[in-house]
Amino acid sequence: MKIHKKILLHYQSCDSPVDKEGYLYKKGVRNSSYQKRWFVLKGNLLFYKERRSERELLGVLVLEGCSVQLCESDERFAFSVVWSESHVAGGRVYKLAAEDQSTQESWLKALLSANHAYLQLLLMDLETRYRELGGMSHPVPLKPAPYAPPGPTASSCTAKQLLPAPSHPPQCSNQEVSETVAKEKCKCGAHIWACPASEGVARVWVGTPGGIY
Amino acid sequence: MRFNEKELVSLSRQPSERAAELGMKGPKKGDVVKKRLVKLVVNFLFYFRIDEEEPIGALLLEQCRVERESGQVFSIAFLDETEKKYMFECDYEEQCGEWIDAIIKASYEFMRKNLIFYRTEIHRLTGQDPLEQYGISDETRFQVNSGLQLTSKETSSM
Repeated sequence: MKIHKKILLHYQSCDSPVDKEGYLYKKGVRNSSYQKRWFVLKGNLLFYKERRSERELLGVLVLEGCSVQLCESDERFAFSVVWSESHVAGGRVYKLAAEDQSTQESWLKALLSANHAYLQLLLMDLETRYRELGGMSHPVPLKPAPYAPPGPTASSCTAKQLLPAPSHPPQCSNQEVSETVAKEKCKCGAHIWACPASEGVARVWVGTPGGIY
Repeated sequence: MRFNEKELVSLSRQPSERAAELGMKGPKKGDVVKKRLVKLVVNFLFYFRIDEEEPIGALLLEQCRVERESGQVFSIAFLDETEKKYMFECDYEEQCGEWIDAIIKASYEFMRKNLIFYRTEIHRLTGQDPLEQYGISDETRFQVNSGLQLTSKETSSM
C-alpha cells in the first residue's frame, strides 16, 4: 500500500502545533538494542528521526487501533505501543523507553490520547455544551481557504476564529443589521463575515494566513 | 521512511465514516479517471480497486485543500501545490457536498481548532474551563494560541 510520504513529511515539518517531542529510546526491529531517537507527536502520528537536527524522517507510527502500556524490559522507564494480534494480523509491539519516570508518564499520557476518536469525543462533548449555552453551533468554516500570501503573522491578526460563515444571516436582535451580513477583509488577508451590531458574534475567520487550511 | 503498514491496512478495514465508489483521478498529467472504492477512516482517505481487500493507497488529510470543482466533482490538493489536485467524481451533487464536509471535518487540525474555539467560548460564557474536569486544561495542544502558531521551523527535505 502506498502511503504518499510527501504528505506526511509536509505535515511533520509544517507549522501546525507539535503535541509532544523529545528523545526516547526505541527498540530496533532487527537489532534488538535500544537506540536513541527524536520523536515528534502531531495529532495521531508519531514521527521519529535519528536526532533533532536531522531533517530526514526515519519513520512514522499511525497511532490508531493501538494500546499504550508499561512493559517489562531490560531498559528502565520502558513502555510499548501495541497492536494486538487479535486486531491486526502480524501486529507489532513497538517498545520505547524514556530517560526518567516523569518523561515516561507524560509520553504515556500523550500517546494514549493521541487517537482521532478521543479528540472527536471531546469535541462532541464541548460542542453539545456550547449549544446548550445558546451558542450558534456550526463547525469552523467548511469553505475551503482562499490562498493568502504570507504576510503578518497570526499574532498581529485581531480577527478571532469564531463561528463559521452562516448559510443565512445569524439571528440578531437588530432586525436591520441581520439582513446585511457584511464581508470585510482583515489585514492579514483573511475574510471576515461580521454582524456589526453584535460584537464578536458571527465573526468568522474564513481564511488563514499562509494559505492551506 | 518506515511506517506501520500492517496496522494502517488494518485501519483501512475498520468501519468508516464514509465509503463509496467514486471516479478518482491522480494529480499528474496523463492520469486518468478510474473507478475506486474511496473510504474515509479517521483522517486518512484510503482508496481501493473495486473488490480488492488491500487499499492501493492512503492519503493523509492534513494540510490539504478540499474544493468543489463542479456540481459533482471535488478535488483535494496537498503540499501547497494548489495546481496538483486529486479529483473525485461523485454520482450526484449532494453526495459531493457530503464528501467535502466529511473530509474537512476529519482533519485532526480542523478538530483541534474547533475544540479550542468551543473551549474559549464556554470559558467566556461560564467562567469555567470545560477541560478542567478532564484534567487536561494544561495540555499544550489545546491552548488557545496553539491553533494559530506560526513559529519558524525547519522545512522538510522535499
